[in-house]
Amino acid sequence: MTATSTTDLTSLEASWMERYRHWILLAVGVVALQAAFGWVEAFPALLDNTFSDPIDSFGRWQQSARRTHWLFTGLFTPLSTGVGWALDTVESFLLWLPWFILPLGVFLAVARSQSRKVALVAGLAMLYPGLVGLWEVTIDTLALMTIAVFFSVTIGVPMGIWGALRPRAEKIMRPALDAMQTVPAPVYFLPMLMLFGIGRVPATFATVIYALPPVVRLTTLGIREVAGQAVEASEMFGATQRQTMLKVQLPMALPTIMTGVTQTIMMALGIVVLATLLGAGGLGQEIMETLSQRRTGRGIATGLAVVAIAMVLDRIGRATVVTDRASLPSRRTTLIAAGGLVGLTIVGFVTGLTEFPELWDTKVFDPIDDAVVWARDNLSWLTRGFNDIVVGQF
Amino acid sequence: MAVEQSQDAAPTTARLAADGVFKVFGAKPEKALEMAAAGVPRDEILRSTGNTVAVRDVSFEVTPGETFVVMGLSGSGKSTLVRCIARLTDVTRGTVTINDRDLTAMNELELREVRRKQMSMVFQHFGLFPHRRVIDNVAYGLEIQGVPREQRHAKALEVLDVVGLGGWGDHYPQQLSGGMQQRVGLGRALAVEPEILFFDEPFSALDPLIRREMQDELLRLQADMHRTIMFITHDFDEAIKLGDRIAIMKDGEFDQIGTALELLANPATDYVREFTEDVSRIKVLTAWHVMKPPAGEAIGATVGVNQPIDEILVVLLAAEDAVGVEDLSGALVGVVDREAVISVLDTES
Ligand SMILES: Nc1ncnc2c1ncn2[C@@H]1O[C@H](COP(=O)(O)OP(=O)(O)O)[C@@H](O)[C@H]1O
Ligand SMILES: [Mg+2]
Repeated sequence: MTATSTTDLTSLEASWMERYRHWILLAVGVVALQAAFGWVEAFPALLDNTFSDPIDSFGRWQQSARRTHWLFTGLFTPLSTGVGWALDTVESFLLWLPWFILPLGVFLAVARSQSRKVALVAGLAMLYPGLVGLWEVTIDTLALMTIAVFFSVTIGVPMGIWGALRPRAEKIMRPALDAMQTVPAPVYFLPMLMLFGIGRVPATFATVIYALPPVVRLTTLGIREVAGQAVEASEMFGATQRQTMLKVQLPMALPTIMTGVTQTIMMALGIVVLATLLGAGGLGQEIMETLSQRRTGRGIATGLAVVAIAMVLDRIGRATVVTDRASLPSRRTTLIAAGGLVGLTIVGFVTGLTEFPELWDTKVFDPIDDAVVWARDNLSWLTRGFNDIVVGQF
Repeated sequence: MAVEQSQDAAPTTARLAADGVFKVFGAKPEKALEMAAAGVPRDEILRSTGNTVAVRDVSFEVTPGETFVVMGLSGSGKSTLVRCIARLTDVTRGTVTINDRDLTAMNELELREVRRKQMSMVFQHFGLFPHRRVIDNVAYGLEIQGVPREQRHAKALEVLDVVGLGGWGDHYPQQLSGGMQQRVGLGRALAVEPEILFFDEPFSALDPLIRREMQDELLRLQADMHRTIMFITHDFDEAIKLGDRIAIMKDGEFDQIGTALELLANPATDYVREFTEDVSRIKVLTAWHVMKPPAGEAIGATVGVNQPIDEILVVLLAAEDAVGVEDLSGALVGVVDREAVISVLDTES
């Protein structure tokens, strides 16, 4: 009898926690921030019934503390420098490569385990942004994506492993992950701005936070799903927990983990456009600009570039999940392909074909702009009536 | 399987014993354990405590080189028992010893050491590693022990030949048929040269024809290896074919332990009788079940050690007196006379 009533109580507690977890987390977050930055130094302003005051004063405080407080000098500033350096490196490397290497590399990476046709489409998708004159902004976005996804995976996979090994840790993590996904992304932007200022670095971190949950979740799931007998077989050979994890559980969970990584990539790409608000630049900024200039055609061209990148990353993600190992090309073929890419890179430099040739640019989409303008000017007799009705109602 | 045919491997000296083993599933097993020890039926314990008594007061001993078969229907607790013995799960009460060392009291490090050096298991659903080639599946145990790659691959190739998979090392498990996959499972277990082998219904997932083939394969291997084997099955014919001794398990308990002949002649309970009744003795019993050691008698003809009685009958009727029994290599290992066969026919009713 006692046992039953305890379970009832805990389940009641759980559902209560569940219902309010976003608010609880928000409250915990606020308190944690305050603790970190010190009631002592900054704002005893919680008593103020306006919420903006403490944030303002925090803003003022962090401006002055940026150069002095240990949290900045010891943590955020070096972190920011490091990530900024990584972004620059990846971006300049991608731009340094002769332009045709990237589409070709995408083709080969996908063709390794998928059909030629799928690989060809992925390669062409990688080519597209260059064809419409968006090569550099796309590379900009790609660099941010690469770094953000790299962080998401290097943080997310260990978290997922931890969750799989310790059910209690998973119980704590799950609501936090839910909250990370359900809270609208711009909510992260403010703290990111305060901690890292404006630019690509805070955009990267916001992206990492937003994109983290799928890879954590699917890593945990993937490890849990590994057939019990395979794990027991490993144990029966006297394997340590670590050996079993590295040699059996993780490799067997890899397809599921990669599904998580693919989802993470998609989440990251979704946020990259919004991250323009933090000064991320790249395709997002291009879209914002075309939107504000009402250049519909160019907006569409840029939007398609985002779609193309999404497709490329998704295909590469899928291609790494190999279900039929036997059909993989031999190590020799792989080496030849890699060698070919290096060779072509050299050829590219020798022949001077490094920059994307100016074929077209977004101007090819100008007819769409014209069409939209024409429609606005000439079809007003059609739309006005509708417009009047709608406007007239309010 | 008691056939003496020692060629390479020296017979093991590993002795396995279980003493008063109980396994109760569920939280707070103490009360259920007391009830189980007092003989309360399983259903009643489940109803009043919510605990499942999967194994109840099981004791046995497996002598070095012996094949001990545990036979029982699905849900009788066989898997739980073998998992307790291998300590994949902890016993609720009782002890398990290997060469008089208490397995249940070992810490993690000692347990790992014993598992690396002394025991292996073959699983019902194979439990292979799909991301590893066959050769790396077989070499897994050695890899865990830190044996260098070249050495462990050499050993794995050797073992693959032994289990009839020569030339398949570079394939992945999914590319193999079920029977071949279990050969990989067997090879993986053998590669570490364990003294004790656990089999949990290893052939149940296979087609009858392949199953028989694998049973013969195991008999052939054991004739060479003389490992100490604990073999789980739900198939009484398989138990008779493979077991030196057989335990019949029901509702977590052993109803009877004995040789195939003993079980067939004197079933201890109605439950055991149900199994023995339907068995055609002259089909499942073989020469080695009924043979005596050779004592210089005149021998007309010979039969194989694994030939069933009904085949021997024909030979025996044509022969003057007793027939000789040859092992797989053709050496004389015993004789079967008319009385032995008549005593078998007697129990066939
Ligand atoms: N992990 C477990 N938790 C609870 N009950 C279990 C567990 N494993 C097995 N059981 C129960 O123990 C009994 C014996 O199961 P098992 O040992 O798998 O039988 P067998 O291998 O003979 O088919 C069954 O009633 C089963 O439901
Ligand atoms: Mg079972």
